Amino acid sequence: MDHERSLEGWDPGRVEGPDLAFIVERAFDYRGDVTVVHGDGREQVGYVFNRDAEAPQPFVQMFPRDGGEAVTIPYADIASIRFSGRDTAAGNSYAAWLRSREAVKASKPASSA
Amino acid sequence: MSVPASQMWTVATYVLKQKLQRRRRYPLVLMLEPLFRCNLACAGCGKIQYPAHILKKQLSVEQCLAAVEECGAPMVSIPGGEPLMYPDIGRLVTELVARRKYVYLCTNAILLKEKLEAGLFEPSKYLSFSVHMDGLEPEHDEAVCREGVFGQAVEGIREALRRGFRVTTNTTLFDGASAMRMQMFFDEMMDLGVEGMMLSPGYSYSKAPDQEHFLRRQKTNELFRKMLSNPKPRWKFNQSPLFLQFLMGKHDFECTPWGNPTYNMFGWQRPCYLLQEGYAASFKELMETTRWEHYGHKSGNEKCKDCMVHCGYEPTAVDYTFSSWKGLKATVAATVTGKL
Repeated sequence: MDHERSLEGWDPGRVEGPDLAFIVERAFDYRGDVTVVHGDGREQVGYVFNRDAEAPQPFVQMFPRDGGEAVTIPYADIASIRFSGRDTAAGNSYAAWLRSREAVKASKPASSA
Repeated sequence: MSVPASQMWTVATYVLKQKLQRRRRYPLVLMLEPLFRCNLACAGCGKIQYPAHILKKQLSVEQCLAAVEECGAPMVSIPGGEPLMYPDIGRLVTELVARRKYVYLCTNAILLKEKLEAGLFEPSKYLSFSVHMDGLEPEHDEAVCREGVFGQAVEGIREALRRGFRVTTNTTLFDGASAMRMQMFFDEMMDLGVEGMMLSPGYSYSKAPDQEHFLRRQKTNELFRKMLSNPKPRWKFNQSPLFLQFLMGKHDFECTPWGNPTYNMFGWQRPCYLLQEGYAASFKELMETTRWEHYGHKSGNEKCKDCMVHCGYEPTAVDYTFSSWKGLKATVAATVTGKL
């Protein structure tokens, strides 16, 4: 499993410059929805699936949680990104499955050994 | 080896055409992911960890066909997600077959019998069900984190074969795999009557739940040498023999990350099927703007260090076959004799 701590629930506050690029990278790597806070205070919730920090106008691309087509948001319009949605890659489902399998085996009557 | 002659001919002429056109980078197999939804949550899979609204999305058939045309590869592999959960899978396959694309529909086969009985597919030399089978029953059910799946897959395979479909298996190997048990698995699959088997070591997806059981290079070589040094003539593999020899440590290939380009609802995935470092809006953009030199074993990229997965190295093996007499001779020898 991934030993890196999940960013779920993290609110880095207002960011700009290299900090913004850093937060965008984390959001791109995050397997949950985030809330993008625009410079004018407007908020958009969705899944960030792409970004380009080296484009003439750096941008992120996001599928809004409420549906619809992907939206492109320039870095210049982003004031902050909150890691507001559940991190779907966090947790230990493999370990959980092993535990549940062992529990099922233990609950079965012992074979005639 | 068990790749049908017509498919071998199609691939051979395609690769030679690329060589004649002096095209340095060309795609061999398009990995087309119409959706990320799956009816399993396998421990080694990093493909399905998304919010619900993303898992509900899917590509349209038209988007899929546009990607196929844009890419131009002679083979299309449809993984996912579970492609049999894609509502338009019947129409998509029909359209691909009409375009004479060799289609590998990669499925866990839980829904295979049901879909076949519903008449969704017609047998064709262009269509092969590539059923995910990670070993004998206990190993497979453990890998997919659910008991009973091996039995369902076997039932699906039997039904597909009974109806005259091409069926292959695809197997991902993890650390701890037993060479002897895998050989028993090969026997069992051949007894079932599948056309051929595909093998690959797993890739350590950063998002996969199980991060502890991926094979490192040396262990991969050891396992494959043990498994395949003395192959039974009845074992048929639906892949390049040189790729299997590479897994055994007999060739020092470099990755061809553009060989199996991936298209899904996010766009054209950079740089390969396994790594998600961004998306390009078009296939041309993917090929022209991805910094390919940053990827592959020799690049020093940590994410590529232990990778020996088929999607990067099988295109290398195929390219090597058609790049030199030595490569061609080695492929022909392995194909004719069955020795690896």
